[in-house]
Amino acid sequence: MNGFISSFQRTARLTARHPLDAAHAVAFFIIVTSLISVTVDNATTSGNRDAFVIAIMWVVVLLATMLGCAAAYSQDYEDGSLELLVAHQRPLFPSVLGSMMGLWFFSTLPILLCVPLGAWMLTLSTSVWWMLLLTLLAGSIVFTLFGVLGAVLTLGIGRNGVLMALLVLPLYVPVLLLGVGACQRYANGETFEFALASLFAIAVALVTFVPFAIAALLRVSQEY
Amino acid sequence: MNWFRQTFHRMGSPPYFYRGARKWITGLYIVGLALLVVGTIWGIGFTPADRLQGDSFRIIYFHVPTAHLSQLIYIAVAVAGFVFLVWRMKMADVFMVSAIWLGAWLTAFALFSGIVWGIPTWGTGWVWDARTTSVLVQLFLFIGLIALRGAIPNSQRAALAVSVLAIVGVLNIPIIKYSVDWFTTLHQPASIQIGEPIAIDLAMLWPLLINSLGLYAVAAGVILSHMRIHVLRRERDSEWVAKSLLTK
Repeated sequence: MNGFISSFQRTARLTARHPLDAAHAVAFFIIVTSLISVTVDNATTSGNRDAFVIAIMWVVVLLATMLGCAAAYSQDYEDGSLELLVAHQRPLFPSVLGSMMGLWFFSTLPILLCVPLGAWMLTLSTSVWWMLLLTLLAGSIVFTLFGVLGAVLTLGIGRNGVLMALLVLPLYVPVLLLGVGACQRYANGETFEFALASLFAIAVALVTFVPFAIAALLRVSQEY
Repeated sequence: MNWFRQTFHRMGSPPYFYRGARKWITGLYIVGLALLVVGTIWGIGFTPADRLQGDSFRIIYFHVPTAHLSQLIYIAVAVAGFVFLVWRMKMADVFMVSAIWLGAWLTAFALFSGIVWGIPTWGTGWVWDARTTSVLVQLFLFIGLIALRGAIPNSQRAALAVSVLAIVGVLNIPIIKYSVDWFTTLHQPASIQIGEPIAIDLAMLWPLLINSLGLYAVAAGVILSHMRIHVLRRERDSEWVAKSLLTK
């Protein structure tokens, strides 16, 4: 019983020393719940079951993509090849864009290939499948970009999984709103062109700008 | 212009800032609190009730200033982040640390007062539409900035990471700004816009402006006094800190 009490007290002390660490998990819960609420809310007004399924699929793909990006550059950071990259490659932009597209191709695309399976499991109407895949195509690129940004932001910090989610999830919201909105409008038979066009426009703009931010952060990670 | 450049560079120096800011803080607090008291009493006691919303509209005197200022603080943090990335000014980082805390509290208060206002007028405290969601996202961004700042032990690296995240998060601001025009939402469109006729009665407008100015002044005072403490903590090993604290 002694061991129980002392260990419990030790955990309490550790939590008191770093209260933000314990708050991360709670924040993750709240943010993911908000993501689901904001996407499901449109569906409750229309009452269309497909709209619910679209919302759930988008959030699940979002979280899966983010997990896939969590390890980006961390191996390079630890074994020192990132230092070589930063020292030798100038400008860094093409190299960053290349590794991000590689990550999207080998880690995110497999998720998209499984989306039809998920849509079938959730019995989504087959007429909406192609629209779901089209919007997720743009969405997953943005998720990968911001995912890598989050991973690079938390380079060198241990226990960075939840913190990274906390940083990145708010950035996902505009794209999530537009993508789910376009797809749900299509499923409800409403006009979806504006949302779809905005989604792709944002994706193209982010592919252009986010690699610069990541390159800057990679340089920073080598400063002391 | 020369005067401005001189002040800008002087403010970048911690000892100069520490001494110079002190005079400002008291003045800002006095002016700000006086304006807030006048604006609040005028707004709650002496303005006519709204034709549609009755007395519940009076929360506008707290909701609009906090919401507006929190957004302004976010932009200011991003600008400071840019300044830090380009010129590596220490004071830009000190400003960011102080401003993200105040920004988070103000955003939380704007959301809370919005919920309180929504219950009698919308019939519901919360709706998931573009405006409410993007302000909630702003709160999450502030919390993310605080968490990131706290998680990186190296202060220089932390400041750089916070700068980049703040700049990327600015994407959210136009969405907040135009959400009431672009998307269908319950939130009323802005009553006061530059270049448009003002869609609010002057009797209701004056207390709102007074309260906004008062809140600006108080917020500036809070940020400056927090910055002074932070500067001391950062520069604790330097000579000027020891001097200025011991001579008192």
